[in-house]
Amino acid sequence: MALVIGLPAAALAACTSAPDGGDEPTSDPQPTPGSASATSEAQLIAQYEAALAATPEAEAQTRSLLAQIRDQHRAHLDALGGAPEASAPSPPASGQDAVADLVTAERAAYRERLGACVDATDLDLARVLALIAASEAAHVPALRSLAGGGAS
Amino acid sequence: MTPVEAWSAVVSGEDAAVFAYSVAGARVKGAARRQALAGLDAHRDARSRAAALVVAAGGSPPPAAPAYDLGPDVSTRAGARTTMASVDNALVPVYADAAAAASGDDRRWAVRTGADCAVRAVQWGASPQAFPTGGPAPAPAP
Repeated sequence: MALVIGLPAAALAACTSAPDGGDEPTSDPQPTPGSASATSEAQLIAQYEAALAATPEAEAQTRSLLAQIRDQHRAHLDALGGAPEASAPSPPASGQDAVADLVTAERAAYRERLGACVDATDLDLARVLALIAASEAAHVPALRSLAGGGAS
Repeated sequence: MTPVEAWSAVVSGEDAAVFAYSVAGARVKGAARRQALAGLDAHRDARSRAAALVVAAGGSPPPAAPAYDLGPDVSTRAGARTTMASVDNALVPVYADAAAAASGDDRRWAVRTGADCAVRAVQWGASPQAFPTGGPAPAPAP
C-alpha cells in the first residue's frame, strides 16, 4: 500500500484549486468535513488496491479502469490534504463482486462528499468537495460499463 | 465570486448545453436518443432554476445566444456524443463555483446537478476525471 501522505486536514485552505499542493502541515486533529472526507478517500484507495490485487492480469480492461480510478482517489486525497493510512478492508471474494462493492462504495462516497460540502464553511473546501462528489458519482457508470461489458 | 456571478455562469453554461443537446441529440438514435432527450430536459430545468436563483440574488439572468458554435464534428454520431459529454463536463466546475457561492439547499442542488452532469458525460463515453472539467463551453456563433 503506497499511502504515505500524512498531512492533517488543517492544510485544506492552502491546497484547493491546485490538487498537487499541500505543503505546510499544521497539527490540528479536530475532525472537519475535509478530514472526514480524506479518511474516506484513503479507505477507497485501499479498497481499489485490494480489488486490483484480486483481479487477474488477463482482465486488462478492468485492471486499467480500477487503477485509473484509484489514482483519481489519490488526487482527491491530495486535494484534501492527505490522511492517515486507512485500515485495510476485508478482501473481496471475486472480481465481479469487487466491482459491485466498489459501485456501492462510490455511491456512499458521493453522498458523504455531498453532505460534507453542504456543511463546509470554507468556500474553497466546498468547491473541492463539490468536484470530488461529481467525480465519484461519475465513477459509478464507469464501473458499471465494466460489469455490463462482460468481465466474466 | 458573488452568487449573482456564479448562478449567471450556470445559466450561460446551461443555455449552451440546451443548444448542444438539441443539435447533437438529433444525431443519435434509439436508447441514445432517449438519453439525449432526458438530458435536454434536465438542462432546461436546471437553466430555469439557476435563472430563478440569479433573480433571488438580486441580478438579471444573462440572455441565451441565438446559436452556439459546436464545431463540425457534431454532425457525426460519435461527434454528437463527444459534444454532449463535453458540455456536461464543462458545467461541472461551473456548478462547483456555484456550490461554493451558495449555502444550504441551493448548495446541495448545485452539487447534485453538477454530479448529474459528470455522470452523463461518462455515459456519453468520456473518461472519468478526478476533478471533472470539459473544454471551454461552446461560444456563441458569430
